Amino acid sequence: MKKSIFLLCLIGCLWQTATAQTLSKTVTGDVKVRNTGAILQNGQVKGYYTFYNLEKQDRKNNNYMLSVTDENLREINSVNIVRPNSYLLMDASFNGEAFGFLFYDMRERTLEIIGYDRTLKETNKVTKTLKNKYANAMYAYIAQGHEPMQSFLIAVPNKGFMYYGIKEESKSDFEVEFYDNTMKRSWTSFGPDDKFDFETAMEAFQDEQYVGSTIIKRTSVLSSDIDIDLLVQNIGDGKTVFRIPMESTKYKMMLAKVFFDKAKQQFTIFGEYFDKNENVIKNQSQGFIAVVVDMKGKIVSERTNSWTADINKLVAAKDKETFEDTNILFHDFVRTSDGQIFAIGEQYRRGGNPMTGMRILVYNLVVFQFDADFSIKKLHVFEKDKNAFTFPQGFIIASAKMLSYVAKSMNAFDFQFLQTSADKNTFVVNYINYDREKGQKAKNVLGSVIYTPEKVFAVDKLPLTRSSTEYYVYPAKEGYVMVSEYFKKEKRIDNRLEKLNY
Amino acid sequence: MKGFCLTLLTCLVWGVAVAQFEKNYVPAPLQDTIPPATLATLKAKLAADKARVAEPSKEVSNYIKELYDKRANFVIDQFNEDYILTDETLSPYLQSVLNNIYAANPALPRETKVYAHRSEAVNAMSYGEGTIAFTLGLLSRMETEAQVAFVLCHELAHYHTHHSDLKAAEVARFLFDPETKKKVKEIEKNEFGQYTRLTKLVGSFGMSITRHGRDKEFEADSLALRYYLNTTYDLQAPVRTLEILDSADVEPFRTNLDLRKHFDFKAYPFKERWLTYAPSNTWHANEDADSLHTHPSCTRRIVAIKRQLLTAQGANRKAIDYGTEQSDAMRRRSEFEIAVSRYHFGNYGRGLFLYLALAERYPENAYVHAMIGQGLYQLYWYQKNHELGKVLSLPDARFEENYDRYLSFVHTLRLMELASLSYYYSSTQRERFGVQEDLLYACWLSSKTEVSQSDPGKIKTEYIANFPQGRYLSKMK
Ligand SMILES: [Zn+2]
Repeated sequence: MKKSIFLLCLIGCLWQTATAQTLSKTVTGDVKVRNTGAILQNGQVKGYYTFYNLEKQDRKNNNYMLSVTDENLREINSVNIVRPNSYLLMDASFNGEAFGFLFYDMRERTLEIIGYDRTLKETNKVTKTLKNKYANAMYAYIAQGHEPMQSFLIAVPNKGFMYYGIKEESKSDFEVEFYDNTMKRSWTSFGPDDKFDFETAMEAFQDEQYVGSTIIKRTSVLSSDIDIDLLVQNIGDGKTVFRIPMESTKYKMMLAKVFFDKAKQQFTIFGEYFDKNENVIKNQSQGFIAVVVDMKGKIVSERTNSWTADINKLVAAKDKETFEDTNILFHDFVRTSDGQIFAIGEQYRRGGNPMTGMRILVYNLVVFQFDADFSIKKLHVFEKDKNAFTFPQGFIIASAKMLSYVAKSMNAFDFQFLQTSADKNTFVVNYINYDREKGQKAKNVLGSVIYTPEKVFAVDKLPLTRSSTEYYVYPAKEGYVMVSEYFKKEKRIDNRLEKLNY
Repeated sequence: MKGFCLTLLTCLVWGVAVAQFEKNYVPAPLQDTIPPATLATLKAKLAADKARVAEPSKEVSNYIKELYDKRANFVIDQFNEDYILTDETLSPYLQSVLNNIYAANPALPRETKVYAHRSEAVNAMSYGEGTIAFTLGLLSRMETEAQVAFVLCHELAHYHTHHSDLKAAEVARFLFDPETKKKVKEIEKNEFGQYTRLTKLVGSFGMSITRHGRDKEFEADSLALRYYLNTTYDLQAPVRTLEILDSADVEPFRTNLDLRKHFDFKAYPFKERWLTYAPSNTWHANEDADSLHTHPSCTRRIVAIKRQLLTAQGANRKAIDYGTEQSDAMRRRSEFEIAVSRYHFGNYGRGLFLYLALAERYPENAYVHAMIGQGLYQLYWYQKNHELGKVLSLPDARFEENYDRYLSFVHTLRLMELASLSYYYSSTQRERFGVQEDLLYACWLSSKTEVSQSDPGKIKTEYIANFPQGRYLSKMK
């Protein structure tokens, strides 16, 4: 979800829409940003935060309450903060020692990072003005209720926090900062002053020694010709360990995820691959690739699995038809402790037409299983009901691939999030299957595809027929999901953990 | 010589008391609806209470009457929702002690009735309209009849000094006070900081209520002691009772459950993984603020009572009645009934924990083992329906460690593991105890799970053959 790095390359094409809407919207209007979220540490849920308006303090400010619970939903503490009534909570994380919260002020166009210790006592706050219009538009887009395209504040276990932003004095080059546990800045690094005026950084991994970032670079905002790099920096001083293009000798990669193997001191970059002259955001991929690089950024080995030669022949007879009729959007990759890699995707098909409205039809969940030596082993198909999403009028997007990216940013896919157990032996893929054209009140199922300790898949389905106005499903501690229901009439939010069956 | 005899006697008596619970247990019957006679008495009392209200302001009078209605309805609901025990043992025992107090205080009109209350909390309540509730939690901690008597004297004091009525009047007067109305208007007029100002207004009133409440506790203790001294109960009980109340937060059963002993079966061995216990270490803020004591510290009450006892007459008093058969039996029965009540109100998680604790003390009690089997099945059923959270708490390091460990254990179990435990537990106990009604039902329940190797139909036939009028019959469909 937040980690889906590929969404950012869309910012160009969503650009006009986003800016236009921001301008026409009164800032104090009904903003739909979720004000509850999971607090993650090393991918494990350690608690939840809720940020809400208690009352108007004066004409300009609200008295907000920031409340934090542990992973069992028991309130740990809450603090009152008085801030402008145009404040929104954008991101939150906990690194084992400290909390970091990132706020966006829609009216003043500023960002604020507030640091708290583990008892929620304020340690420091950092304010940033957002003169950069691209930076502003990005936050404004989220303020309208869209999925954030990336995480902005990332916990580095016990060390501090990484902040991913946009450099003020640039067109749109990245700014990467590291803050210690007391929210004091340790170092900053920027995208280089080169022909790539649009260079975006997103978190790739965090370790005790190194932090990795994925860099997406383009020469102009509307360019769909993008290059992706992997940047690895020392956590202590921000010095670059290496920066390499995400490509193999023959191919370039897209939607890649980076796994750091501490024991071997190697990185595995895994994702879909394309010919070097292909457009990665318009064309369908050639297949999957795993590239292993050493600490100098040198390629140690690479392995491809192509659709035509390796993957298609594994499609079971009963699934042949759907595989031929649909494309697959991959949401995430996960590597289990035994070295296997799993690619999680959903089948989709383009529908409708520019006149009546573009649609996307979403079908089954698929999981591709790769061996520890990166060769494809098995394709798993988990059937679920078809779901259709109609785009707002005026959307004209030529390629199905592109359409799937935009659809993803508009929450049109069922996939919600993936959670890996702390020992990395098991993982759970959660999706919500409901008829988007009829809304949440219609048939509504939370599906969990679980890779069990027995190394097989199990499916658990939890009907979500509730009386609430709206509900959300959040990650929870291992083996659970958190269901949050909002009852508009009573102005009440009910949060509870549901244990999965497998 | 006398001392020796007494010790021997105590031991013998204790043995008799234990024997009642050693092999089996028959739970107290459940009262579905309030007995008509009790309802009539409550209604008559309500009418009389309302007739007495005479506030200068009509608004205030009406509001107080409304509060009396609510209070009466609350008590009636307590009966209808099965919280009040109208059994033949616990409530009559409490009532007999209350009668002793009345007999020793002939000036007091006999307007109250006492009942055992199906709550694990350590508490007693005088609702104010004549009903006194004595929780099973408190009863299970009472060592002597004299302690029960002192608690009742305290609740009687609340009743006869009209503490509940006075509080109702205080609330009503505050709400309709012109000064309050003015303040609320002011808050409404200015949209800024409304929440904070309203909280402050309500908070300061709440504080004054609490302060009055605390004063009233001292007042009740003082009066209670006067009632108490008119009886022949011993002089140690009042202080000891307050000490027991003071340690109410400390669980009586604190050793860790031997989960492996309970859940290791030949056909289904215990799994090491189930014992993984990692208390939440996310953060530990506010621990002190959390344990804010809602009841006034008993220490100060003890000091006050001791001062008052200095002048008390020690002559003609009964000896301290530690370990009498009756009070011991009441205590044990209360412990069983707490577990029974937890199941009855659907709190299978806590109930199962209590039954497991009972099983460690009464290993030969077939009923306890049957209820463990039934509880496991219930947890399985709720988990299957994704509703486990409704009947089982989440672990919390603030609980007693043995309970927190137990909760972690149950939460660790996967659905089929829960089913297996329910199945193997019940069938193993059945081999041990043979035909026992509650156990047969537990077997029938678990025979319906995916892991079962028994035929539910056969078990049902056996149940009907042995218990043609059985109380589980209607549930076995
Ligand atoms: Zn009292």
